[in-house]
Order: sequence, then C-alpha cells, then structure tokens
Amino acid sequence: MICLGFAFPVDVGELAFEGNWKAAGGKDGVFEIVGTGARNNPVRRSLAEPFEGEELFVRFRIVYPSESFETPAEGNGEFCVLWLDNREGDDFATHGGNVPNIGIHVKGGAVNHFMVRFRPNAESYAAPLVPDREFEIVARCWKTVPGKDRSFDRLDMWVDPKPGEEFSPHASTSTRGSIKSIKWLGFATGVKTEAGDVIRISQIGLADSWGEVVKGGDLTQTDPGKSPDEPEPMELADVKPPPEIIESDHWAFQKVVRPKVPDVKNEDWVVNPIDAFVAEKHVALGLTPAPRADKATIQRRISLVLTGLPPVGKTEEQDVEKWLQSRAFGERWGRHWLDVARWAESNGHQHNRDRPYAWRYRDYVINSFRDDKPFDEFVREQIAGDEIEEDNSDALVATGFLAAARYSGNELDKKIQRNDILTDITDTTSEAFLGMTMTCARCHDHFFDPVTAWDYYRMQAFFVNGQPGNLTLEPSGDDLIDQRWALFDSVEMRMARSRKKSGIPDPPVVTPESVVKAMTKEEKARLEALDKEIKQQSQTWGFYSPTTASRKRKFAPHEMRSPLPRDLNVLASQKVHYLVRGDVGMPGPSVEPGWPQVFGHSDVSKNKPRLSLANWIASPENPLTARVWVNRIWQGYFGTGLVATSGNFGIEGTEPSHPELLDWLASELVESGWSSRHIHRLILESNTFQQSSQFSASNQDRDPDNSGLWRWLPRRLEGEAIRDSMLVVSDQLIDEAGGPSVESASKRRSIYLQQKRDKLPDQQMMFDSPNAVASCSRRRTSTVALQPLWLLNSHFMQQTAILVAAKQQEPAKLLEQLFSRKAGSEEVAQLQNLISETGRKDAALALLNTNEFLYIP
Amino acid sequence: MNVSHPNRRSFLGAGLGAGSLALHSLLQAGVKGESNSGFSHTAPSADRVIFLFMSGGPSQVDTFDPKPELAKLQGKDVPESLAKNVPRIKRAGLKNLLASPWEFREQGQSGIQMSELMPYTSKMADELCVIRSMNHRNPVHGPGECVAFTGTAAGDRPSIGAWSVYGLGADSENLPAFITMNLHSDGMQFPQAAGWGPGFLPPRYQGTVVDPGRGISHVAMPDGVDDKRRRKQLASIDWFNRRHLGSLGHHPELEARIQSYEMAFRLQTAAPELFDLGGETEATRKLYGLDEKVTETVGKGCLLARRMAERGVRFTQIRVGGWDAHGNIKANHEKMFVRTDQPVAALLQDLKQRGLLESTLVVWGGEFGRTPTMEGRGGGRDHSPAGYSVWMAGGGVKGGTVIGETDPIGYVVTERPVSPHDFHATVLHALGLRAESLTWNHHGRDEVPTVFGGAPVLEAFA
Repeated sequence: MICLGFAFPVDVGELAFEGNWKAAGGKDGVFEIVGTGARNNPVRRSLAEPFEGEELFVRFRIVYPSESFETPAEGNGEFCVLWLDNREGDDFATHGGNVPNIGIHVKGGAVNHFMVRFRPNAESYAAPLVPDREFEIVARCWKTVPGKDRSFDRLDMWVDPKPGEEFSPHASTSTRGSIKSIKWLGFATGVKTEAGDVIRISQIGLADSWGEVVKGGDLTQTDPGKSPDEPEPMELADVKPPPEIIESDHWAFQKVVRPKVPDVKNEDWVVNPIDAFVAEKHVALGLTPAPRADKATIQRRISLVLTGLPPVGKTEEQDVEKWLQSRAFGERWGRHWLDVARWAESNGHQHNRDRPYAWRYRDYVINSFRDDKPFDEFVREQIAGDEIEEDNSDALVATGFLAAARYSGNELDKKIQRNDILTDITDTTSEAFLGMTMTCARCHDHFFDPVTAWDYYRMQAFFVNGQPGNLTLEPSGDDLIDQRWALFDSVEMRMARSRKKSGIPDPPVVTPESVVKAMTKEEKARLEALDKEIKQQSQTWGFYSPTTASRKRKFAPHEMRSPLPRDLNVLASQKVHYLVRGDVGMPGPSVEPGWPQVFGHSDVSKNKPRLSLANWIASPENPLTARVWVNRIWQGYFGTGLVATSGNFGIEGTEPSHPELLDWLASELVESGWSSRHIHRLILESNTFQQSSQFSASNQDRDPDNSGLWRWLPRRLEGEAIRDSMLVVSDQLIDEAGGPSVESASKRRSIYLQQKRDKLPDQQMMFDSPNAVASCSRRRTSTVALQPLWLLNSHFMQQTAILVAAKQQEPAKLLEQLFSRKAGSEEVAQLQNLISETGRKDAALALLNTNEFLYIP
Repeated sequence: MNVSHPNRRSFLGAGLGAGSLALHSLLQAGVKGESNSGFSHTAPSADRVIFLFMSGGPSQVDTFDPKPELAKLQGKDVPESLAKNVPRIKRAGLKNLLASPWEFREQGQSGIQMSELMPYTSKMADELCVIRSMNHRNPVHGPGECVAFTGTAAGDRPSIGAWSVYGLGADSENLPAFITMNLHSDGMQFPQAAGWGPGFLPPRYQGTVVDPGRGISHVAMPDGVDDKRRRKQLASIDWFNRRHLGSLGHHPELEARIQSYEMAFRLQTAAPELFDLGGETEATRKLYGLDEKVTETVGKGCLLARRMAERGVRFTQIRVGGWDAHGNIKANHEKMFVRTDQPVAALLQDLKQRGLLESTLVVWGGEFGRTPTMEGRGGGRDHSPAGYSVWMAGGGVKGGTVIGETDPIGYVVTERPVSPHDFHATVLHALGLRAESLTWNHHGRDEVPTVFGGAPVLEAFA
C-alpha cells in the first residue's frame, strides 16, 4: 500500500470537507490507488457536517492504466468504487449493502463498465471502461422525498457528462432504506483488483447542484411549475368572416305578440282562455272533446302530475294551491329541470369522480320551484350567479347549472379539456333556455338554422373565463384553502423536479394523488388536517370566473387526476377562438362574446358578460325564452309540448300545434312577472287538462296523434315516480328535505338518490331516465322485457309487495288504495281469485305491475 | 340447441303496417321481425358480430406488426425522418425506442406474422384478417374507448352494437339482441357505458350488460314462486291491463307493455338456459380453458359468446380490461395473453367446427396501440393511437390476410389508413348495412353511424 497524504481543496457551497484525506498516494493532485487483491479502502475523507439534504453531487476523474487493466475474458476483470456513507470504517470495511457505490464493475461477466449500485445485483451500468483514457464521472445521490429521516434512495451517474444532461443520467439505480445522511466518502477496491494494479483518481469534488459540479455549462433549470395550459403560439387559420346581416322569418325567432283570445261556440266547455284556443282547433279539425274526467281520476292525475306521488288516503278533494306550494311539487318539477340541466353528482368520463357538494344545486332547483321563483331570476342566477351574487350565496349555488358539465379528469391536453367543458356549457345553455340546438354550428355553419359557427364561438366566449369547481360559501375558509394550496404546490414543485431527474420526459406529469404520496409524514398530516377543516366549510359545486365575479371566491380542493390549472391568471387569460371543424388544434381568429347574430346587436358588458347574456335571455323581448319555458311546463302535464320538440324551436323542430295558445301563455308568463305558478294554475283549471281519456273513433280518424287535444292520453310515470309511488303505497317513504344525496337503498324520494354518472340508480336506467350527459328535454318511454323482470323479481318490489299486502287485506280496499277509485265487482272477484291462488303478496305485486297503477290516468 | 340461420329477408317487410304492435320493442333490443323498415342495403356476409375488445390498448409491435428495425434502434431516439411524421399527440414519446421482447414467426398457410405471445391464436392465423393501419388521435382511455365504439370521444352517440341491432332487428324471440360482458374490469380503466349505449337511438337498442357468473339481472323468480304461480300472476296483470286498455280504445304503448310481460316470462326461461354450461362437454371445457384459473374468466365469456351466437344474439361484446402496459410491457402482455389467447382461439375454433364462423364476424382490438418507445424507465410503453392493429375473422372475411402498414418502427400508419369510422362501416358492411344509409333522425338531422365519414374496408372480404 503506497499512501501519500494530500490535501485536496474541496469546498462547494455549504458543503465542506473536514480534515485531510486519509491514506492516499500519488502526486500533483492525483491519487494513486493500489489494488491488494482484497477489499481495500485506501482513501477516505470526512465532511464537515453530515449531509442530509435533497441531493448530493460528487465528481471525480479516473484513469485505468492499461498495465493494470484486465478484461474478464482474460481474467476476472476490474473493480473500483467511490462510496458515500454515514460512517468511516477501516481499511478493510465493506461499504456495500444499501450504501451508494459509484465506479467500475464487470457487466454480465464480460466487459468492465462504469456502474452505480446500492447492492450487488441491483446495479445499473453506463459506458464501458477503456484503459488509459481519462473519464469524468459525476454521480448524484438523492432522496425522492427530502427530509432528515428519509433515505438517499436514488443514485444516478454520468460518464463524461454534457451540460444539458441533468435529467438524462447515463445510469440510474434505486433502493429503499439506504443511509439517511452522508458523512464519509472514500474509494475502495476489491478482489478483482490485483495486487499492484494502479488506478489514478483526480479532481474529487462535491456539490449540491448540477450547475456547480459540471464545469463550463449554462445550466439554468427550467421551471417545473410551468402550466401546460399556457397558450402556445400557434398559426391561426384563415376563416371566412361572418355575413354582415343574418335574418330569418322563422316563427320562433319573431317577437311574441299577445294574441286575442278567440270566441268559440262551445262556450260551456271553455273554462279559461286555454280552452278557447284548444276549442278553436277542435272546430278546425272537426273534433269533439272528451267529457270531463271523474273527480277521483282528476285527483289522481293532479297528484301524480304535480308531486309524482299517488294520493294515497286522500279521498277528499285536495287544495291545488297547497299542492303547488308543497316541497313534493318542487321535488317533481325540480327533477324535470334537472333533466334539462343534465345535472349529476360526478365528473363523468372515465375518472368519474364524485362531486360531493353538487347537491346544493339540486336543492336550489327544488326550492326555486316550490317558491315559484320568477323564471327570469331563475335564468339570471343560473347563467351569471357568480357575477350577481352579493349577500345571496343562492345565486352562486345556481351556477351549478353551468358547472354540471362533464369534466374529464384524465385529460392531459388542457386545451381539449377546457374546450369540452365549454362546448357542454354552450350546448346546454342554448338548448335549455332558448330551445336552440347549436351543437352543429360547432363544426360548420348550421345547415338549417340561421346560426353560424361564428355565433357558436361567440356564445362560448361568454363562459371562457370561468370554470367549475368546489367553491366555498363562507369567506372564513379562504385562509385554510390558501395554506392548503401553498403546501401542495411546494411539494408538487419538488416532485416535478425529482421526476425530471428520473428521466421522465417533459412536461412532467405530476398527479395530485402522487403529490400527496410524495409528502413527508409531517406534510401529509398537515394536509389532512387542513383538508378536514376545509371539508367542514360550506361548499358548492359551482362555476366561477375570477375576472367577472362580484366577490372573491376560492376553489376548494376537488380530487382529480389531471384538473384544469387552478391558477386564476391562466383562467383570466383564456380566449375563445373560432375552431375550424371544431378542432382545438385548428384555431382561427379569436372571438368576443355575443349572442347569435340573427337576434340583432349584442350589447355585452365587459365587466359582467354573462349577466349581459342572462339579461338578454331573460328579457321579455327575447322571442324564445318565454315560449320555450311555457312549452316545457305544458309538456310536464300532457307529455308532449305544444311544440313537440321542446328542446328545438329551430327550423328543424316541429311547428307548434297551437301557435296562438303558445304565444298567449308566453305573454301570460311575462305579464305575471314570470310566475310559473300562474301558468300551472291556468292549465290545472282548464277543461283541456281535465278531460277524460275516452276514446272516439271519429276523433281518432281525424287526429290519430291527439295533437288537437281531444282527450287525455295516459302516460307512464318516470322511473323516479314509479319508485316513489311504490314507497308511498307501502308506507316506506322517508319524506325528508334536501341535503347530501343518499345511497339507493335509502327510502327517501328518488331525487335524493346519489346521481353518479354511469351508475345511476337501477330503476332510473331501467325506465328511460336520461344519462345526464347532455340536456334532455323530453324523456322517451321504452317498453322492454327487463322492466317487468325488475317490477316482478327485484328485491325492492318483493319487499314493497309484502308491505302493501300486509297493510290492506280487504281486496276492494286494496284496489281502491292503489288505483284511487272505487273498484268494480269483477275486479274484486279477479283479485280475490288471484289471492286464493297465489297469496296476498303475489296478488299485491300483480296490482303494482298493472298499467293503471303505473300510468297517469 | 337449435342453431338458427334465419333468412332475414323472409320477415323483412312482414308485419310492418302502421301501428303494428310488432314495431314496438318487446325485448330490450327489439323482437324478431322488427326490422326497422328494411335496412338491408347489400348482401350480408355475416348475421351477427362478436366484438372482443381489449381495453387498455394492446401493443401492435409486440403482437401483429413485427418491426425488426426496433431491435437495431433499441435505446435510441426515434430517428428524425420518422419523428417528423409522428402526430403531436400528448404522450407520444420520441425517446428511447424499445425492441419487442418477443419473436415473430410466420403462421399458418398464409404466413401471417404473429408474435410468440399467441401460441393458440397463431393456429387460427389463416382465419384472421389483420389490419395494421388503424389510427385516430385520442390517446386517453375513456374517450379512446368511446371513439372505438361510437366514433367520437364524447360518448353521446350510439355504439356500433346499437347501430347494428337498430339496422337488423333481433334474431331471437327470447334473448336480447345485444349483450355485453365486462371481464377483468378491476383495473384503472372502467368500462365506458357508451360502449354499449344507445346514444340518441331509442333505449331498446342498448346492450344488456350481463355478468357471466350471474346472467341477466332480476331473471330469477323469488323463492317460492314457480312458473305456474307466475303464470297466474301474469294472467291477472293481463286481465287488469286489458280491462284498462279497453276503456282507452287505442294506445300502442300500453299494448306493447302488455306484451312485454310475455317476453319477460320467456326471458326468464331462456336466460338461465343460456348461462347454464352444464351441458357442455369436457372437451369444450378444456378447449376454452374453463378449468384453469388464468383462463377461466375469459374462457367463460367466450363460451357464452358462442352460445349467444347459437341462440340468435345479434351483437355480443366482450370487454377484457387490463392491457394498459405502462410499467412493463413484458409482464403485462404475457399475463394478458395467458388470460385471453386460449379462450379467443377456442371461440374461433369452436365456431368453425359448428359451422357458425362463416356467419359470425369476430373482431379483436383495443382503443389504441402503444408507443414503440419506452415510457419512463421500467420497460413499459405509453398509449399511441397513431397506428395500431386489430383483426377480424369469420363473417365473410378473407382469412390469412394483412391490410395496411406502419412505418419501420410501428409508430405511424404509412399505407391504407383505417379510422374507427372505417372500421365501423366495415362491421356494418358485413351485416349488409351501408353506414351512410343507416339513418336516424335526431334533432332534425339524419344521423348515421359514421359521423365523420367512413368507408368499409372492402378488400377484407372474400
């Protein structure tokens, strides 16, 4: 062993060596390490302070003279490593077994290579070793999670590194449970290093950053926190400009003019103007209206139409006014609106995460109907709630309408992600309030309606500076949220850096979940504590724009894999571009918000653009809004609107069956101060609504579709109303109001069952409920064999039948209770017979399966 | 069980008078005889379809698209000459090419190249028409799956199965026309309901989801109820319903509802019979690997698919989850092929020996393929929709053929690109349906299955 002491000046940053190298040999700043044919540690040195930071770089130069060099093919190859350890050991100590080693080893029993390893058989190799050539070796020993109590679990190596290679090491290995601090380093040889072999080492240096350790490189780090959503400069496509003037003589785009109520001969039949308009059409088509239905039928009809529940035990005539103001009314008519709003409580798409605070919008809708909130206000709050709310957080909750859009939590392309949401919102808003299907115009000018693709993107532009999220209702939680994101962001930055080092290509994909996983115990505990506190704050799943909102709101956490950037500046800087064929990769010129040109000049406020849109929609002058809404109410009674395509008042929609009645109702709505209840009253008291379903062959010949409304046509209850009816007749209904949704085993009304997209409750899916993906203006009625199977065999129905049978043992009374009418003797005999053959339960189940029970009479 | 090869044309046009009850669906996806006013555009080469969907994205360069060049470029970046053609899709990594760990060999008389991952399916090589040039632009599972089944990423359009049964109607009076089974869906990629959804078509065209272990939900009658008792119940329901209908004169929907009870009763019998594998021989069980843990799940699904084909189910879909080989292509694909290779080959062989393959179009593929480059450092591959392979067999398809080509590393299609829309048009073509003429009026627009255009790959057919 030839060992000459040599003081090597190393002091980089805060790192410093302590004392001198122990036992080294050589001259002119070069150590000569000499093999012994056994484990040997001739060169060692201590650091002034144990290093416990995030990453330590070490650099040295090495020459393996050819006289010492032996390939494995000729002998057993070479071995020499630099180790980093928390202890010194002696000349013969082994610094292996989860201790970082950087050096030379035989790869695959064949060739000497540079390598890094923590343990034998867990090494990683870089370039082969060439004798007589000087190599510069750089290694980085680092902690994926920093902290004094964390291990150095990663080891990277570069052989002759180039400045830009910080994040693409030539060899890398990892382990668990390695040393937590570095106090000593040294060079070791082993049995492969024959006695007398000489290895020359020079320029040993330490650093805590890449820039310091690699000489002469411009090594500024890129900022890993850069948002992938930042607009990249892109060439804009040339697009044909919109025409200067767009005009249309389509009926629905003309202003509503209040029509004169017609004088009709059949005066006795006319209870209110609705009947006059209907009677006029009867005459025109040669129809004779059906007689008024009997009282019991009307009672049952009103009960089911208004509340979705059968009038069990209510034999006396009910006060319609009471019904109209009941929560049950809000629950049923609210559900109709939720169809239109494509509302659900999860993000949809593949990562279908729950929206635990979305229920507030559901309650907002129920309460709005129960309280007869003026429809114009209902419109304004839903479209621009965040822009108008002051002390009224109800308005913020109302933006749940916009926020109900699906949101792909796994979409990495932020342009696509944002555009999908904007498209959803634009389509739903225009269909819900205006009865316009603008979707087609997204890719090309509308084929039929006077709507251009420019119009489409101008509509989109109203929504571009906002996005959906959990919003706090009280400012008291804002500070917690700030703290939470500050903590989260710091770890995310760290992660992004560490991922880059691991060679994961740019931009680093760091998911919120993995950020949490990468936290230290303390960080995680802090995060959990904060999240727990934040969860106790009142929140709503709403839509919020930091640039136009009337007061500051914070986005509270919402668990997602790849959410839109939270950065409000990014949101504020968004612009809508005309997209050629709807492709986000082919943007044309940017557009300013505005409504379709066919409706004239758009007067849009810069500060509150969505409020401008809402005011235009909710204006008495708007030709569509009132018509579309009264038509939806009408559909809620008769199953079909006066305009059958209730979501499409465009040229391809159907013509109104009673155009004057539609306009009369629309002007009634506006003149009553947009009171929906007023329209309900008018319909309820009309003879048109109170007709029986009596058949008439001559009417049938003249008007087979009953578009002239010559009788009432029974129609099936919706899935929700079927389930709720079952709960009512079996006394199982738990009639509680509002609050977070409940699981489907609950006995509350169906509107309160968890509405998770793709996992909607069985009976909803079975009976044609919409899938909450797009606005649904009218449900279909399918009759498939799976429905009887559910109605006969499901556990829910079996239980219901048992309870119904137990509740009423008298056949005649059972029939009366279920059908809300006196039973005929033949019916009683039929039921009696069935009971004797199959027992009470199966007989009750049969009645619950009848059309009479399941249809609005 | 009677194997039916009904002549569809014999009941086309029958019973289609206005107001005919037969028009109103009784079973989930229509009843025999419901033909939707004769969507039969060309001579069909298949009566039914079995779609084997490999969710997660099987890698083309490790299965059906051999790329020896990859071995030479191992560890290198994608050469600039090829990289410039790689579409700018997120996740399309260009660093660190990864050679396939598997050997490719020529298989069968036709000499189609298949990797050693598929010892069983290789034996059926002469039945396969491999398309190596599938491509689209969506690299994310959920939307990608929607593209694969519906043509667009939003998941709001009808699935190819729904369009098929809309076009053809049902071929069984007792079973749904469109059945889907989701197997091994325990991973990250949840089945997308759009894959069997009806979109804007009436709900009756939607696929019925069945669990191979449990069958169709609510089919089983409650304890203590037998056929006789159920018959009495049904007779009473019928009695009340007819009395109710009598006062209304005419109401097609109510009449359809009355009939749906009869259908439900038949389904109660037919469904358990379908799922009862007790009558299958030992040889069949062995063929599908029913008694081996690794092949049991997919084996059962494939055997049920054959039984459905025999019983007139129009469109059977099997979704096998788990192909998302990010971490380690070798471990993942070995596992997935052990699960699927034998059962899938068994299905082809079994259909063939029963004379059903010629009238059954079987298709196999995922929502996209995988990058020829390595993802991260673990030996996995990332998603890549820019060029991937699927195969078709039976149903008039010319076996032992290869269509399309990708670049020398299997990244991007260079010859005969086939879009998912083309693929859908191809499936419909086999069923005798022309995609551009299969219309449904929705929101005033005559919608067709291939919304962005799409033409059948005619050269795939004999």
